[in-house]
Amino acid sequence: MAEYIGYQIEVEMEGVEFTIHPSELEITLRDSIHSFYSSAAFSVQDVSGIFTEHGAFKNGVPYRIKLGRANQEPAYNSYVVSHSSIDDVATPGFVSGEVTANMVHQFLSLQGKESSAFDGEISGFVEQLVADGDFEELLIEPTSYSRIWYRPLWSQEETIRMLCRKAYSTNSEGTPFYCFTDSKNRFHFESYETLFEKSPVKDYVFRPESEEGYSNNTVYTMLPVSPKYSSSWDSWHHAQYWMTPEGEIQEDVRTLLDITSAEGNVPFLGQAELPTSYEFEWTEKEEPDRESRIAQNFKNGLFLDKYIIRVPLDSEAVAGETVNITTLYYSENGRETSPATSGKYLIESSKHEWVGKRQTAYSELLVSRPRIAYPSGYLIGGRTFGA
Amino acid sequence: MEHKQEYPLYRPAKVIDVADEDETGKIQVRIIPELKEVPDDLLPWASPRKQSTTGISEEIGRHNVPDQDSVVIVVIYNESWSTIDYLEDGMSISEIYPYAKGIEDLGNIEEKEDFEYPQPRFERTKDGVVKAHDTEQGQLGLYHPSGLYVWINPAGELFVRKFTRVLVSGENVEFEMNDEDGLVRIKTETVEVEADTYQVNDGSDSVVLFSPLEEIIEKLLEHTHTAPSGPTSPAHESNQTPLSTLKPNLRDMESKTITSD
Repeated sequence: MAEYIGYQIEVEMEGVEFTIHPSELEITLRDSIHSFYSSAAFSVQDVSGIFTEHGAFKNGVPYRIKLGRANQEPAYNSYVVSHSSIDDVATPGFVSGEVTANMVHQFLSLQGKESSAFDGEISGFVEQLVADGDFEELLIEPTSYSRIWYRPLWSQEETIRMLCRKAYSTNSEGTPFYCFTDSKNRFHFESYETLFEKSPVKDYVFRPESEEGYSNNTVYTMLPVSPKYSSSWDSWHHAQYWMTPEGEIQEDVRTLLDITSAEGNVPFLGQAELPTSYEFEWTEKEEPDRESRIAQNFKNGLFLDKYIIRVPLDSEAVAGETVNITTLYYSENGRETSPATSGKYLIESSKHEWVGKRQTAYSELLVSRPRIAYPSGYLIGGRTFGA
Repeated sequence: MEHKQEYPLYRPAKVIDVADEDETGKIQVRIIPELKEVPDDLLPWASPRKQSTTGISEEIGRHNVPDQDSVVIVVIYNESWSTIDYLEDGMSISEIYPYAKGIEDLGNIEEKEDFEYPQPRFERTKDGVVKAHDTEQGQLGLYHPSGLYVWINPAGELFVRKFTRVLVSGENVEFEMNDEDGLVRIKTETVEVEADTYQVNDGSDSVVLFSPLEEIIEKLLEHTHTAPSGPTSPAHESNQTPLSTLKPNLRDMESKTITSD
C-alpha cells in the first residue's frame, strides 16, 4: 500500500508490511519542541484477532510508519509500542475488534543507565549520546560552554534533558535550547533563535472565504490560543545575584524584552524594571553557565502570539520548522493582508492524521511567535514602537 | 522520563587526589555509586564546604584536607554536578582565608620541616593563633602572634621558642623563666639532682659538690706529722694517705655539666 488516493500510507511491523487496507486504518503522528520523543498512534480493525494473537500490540514491538502526500517527502519514523487498548481489556479471551496502539519514538527502547563523563562542549556530548539512535538527521547546534559533563547513572534522555537546560551558544541571542525528535526521524538540539530563523517550509494562506477553492496552502481554520500570562509572568523578569571572591555582591537583571525586542518587533508586554524572580549563588561562576540559566528562565515566555491552524496533510510541517501565514481580510479598500496576524511562525507541535473511514488526511499545527511586527508608529503602553 | 531528583544530594565518595593546584583545599573524588565507572582524570573536584556556624572571614579559616584514599561525604548541589562540596567537622577553609596565608603564619617556626601541600592541617582564629598538624610528617604545634610557638618536630623533639615568661607553679613549688630579666628562679624546699657531672659555662667552671669535700676533710682530720717529740696524733704510719694523693679528689668536685644555655 505504497500510495492510496494521493497519499503515502505505510505501516511495518518488524520489517513486515501490515496488509490492512488504508481505509481500515487510522494513523496519528505527533511531535513537539516541548516533547523529547515524537509519538504515533494507529487504530485497526483486528476482525479475526490474528494481530493480537501474534502479539502485534505488545509493549516494545517496533513499527515503522510512513504518512504523507504522494507528491512530497513523507513523515517516516520508527516507533515502539508503549501502550495499546488491548492492555485495557479486562475480559480474558477477547482478542478481536478495534485496537489502538500508542507508540513512542524507537530511541526510547535504547535507553540505558550509565556511569560516564565527557570532557568538552555540550553539543559534542549530545552527539555522542544520540549516536546509536538511528536518526535520519542530527540537528545539533554547536554550544559554547566546555567543561566535564557527567552522566551519573542516567539514561541518554535524562542526560540530554539536563544538558539542554545548561546549553548556551554565542549564536543563540540569549534564547534557550530545545531537544526533541520530530516526525521525520530527526533529532533536534537547537536554540529558539536557530529554530525561528530557519527558512519557512511552507507559505500558508488563511482567507475568510473559499471562493478561490482550497489548495495545499490553504489554512482551513485558525484559532488563537491565549498564552498563560499568569503562570509565565514570573519568569519574564529575572535577576541573578552572586558574590565575587572579594565579597562584592553582583547582579544581572534581564527581562524578556531583552530577547524579544528587535528591529521594531515587539512582544505584547511593557518593560518591567523590577525582577519578579531571582536566584543567588555564593561565588562567581563562569559567565556562559549564568547565560544558560538566565535563558532557561525565559523558556516558557517565548510563545506569545499563538494559534492552532488546520491545513491539508503536510508532512513537511513538523515541530521545529517555521511557516509563513498570510491572513487576508476585507476592508473598504478591498482584500488586504492583516499585519497583526500575518507573518512567520514557529511550529511548536504538529499532528498529522489519516482517518481511513472518512478517507481524509490533515495536519494540525500549533504555531507561535515571540513578537509581532506592528506597523511603524503604532502606540502601545505610551511608547512608540518601530519609530 | 525526566530525571527527577531532589538536590542537594549527599553521597559517600573516595578521595582520589588532594593536589589542588589552587591550594584551596579541593579534593578529587569518586562519588559512589554514580561515578563508579568514570576515569580518574575526569572525576570532579570537591571544595570544602564554605558554610560554618562559627563563621569564616579574611581573618578566620581552617584548612583540613582529608587524606588520599579516605572516604568523605560530599554534597552535590545541582543537576549538572558542577558544584560539589565535601563535609568536614566544624568550620571550613574558604577562598577568603587561603592555605598560603596559613603557611605564612607558620613560617616563623624554625624547627619545622618544609610543608608539602595539602599539609599541614591547620586552624586559625581571629586573634592570630594557628594550630597546625602535619599528619604526613608527624609534626605539630601552636603558633602565637606574639612570636611564641610550641613545636614538635618529626624527630619527636619539643621546642618552646620566643617566650617572654614561663611560670610553672603549684602549692609548694614554683619554677620561673623570665626572658626579659634573664632569670631562672626555683622556689621550693628541696632541689634534688642526680647526675655524674655538673658543668658550668661550657665546662670552663665547675659546680662544687659537698660529698668529695667532706671526704677530703675527713682525711685531713686523720692526717699526722712526725715531730721531735714523737708523732702528733693520730699516729703516722707509712701506709697513711699523703695529702698529695687527696689533691686529685678535688677534681671530683667538678660536677656534671650545668650548662648556661
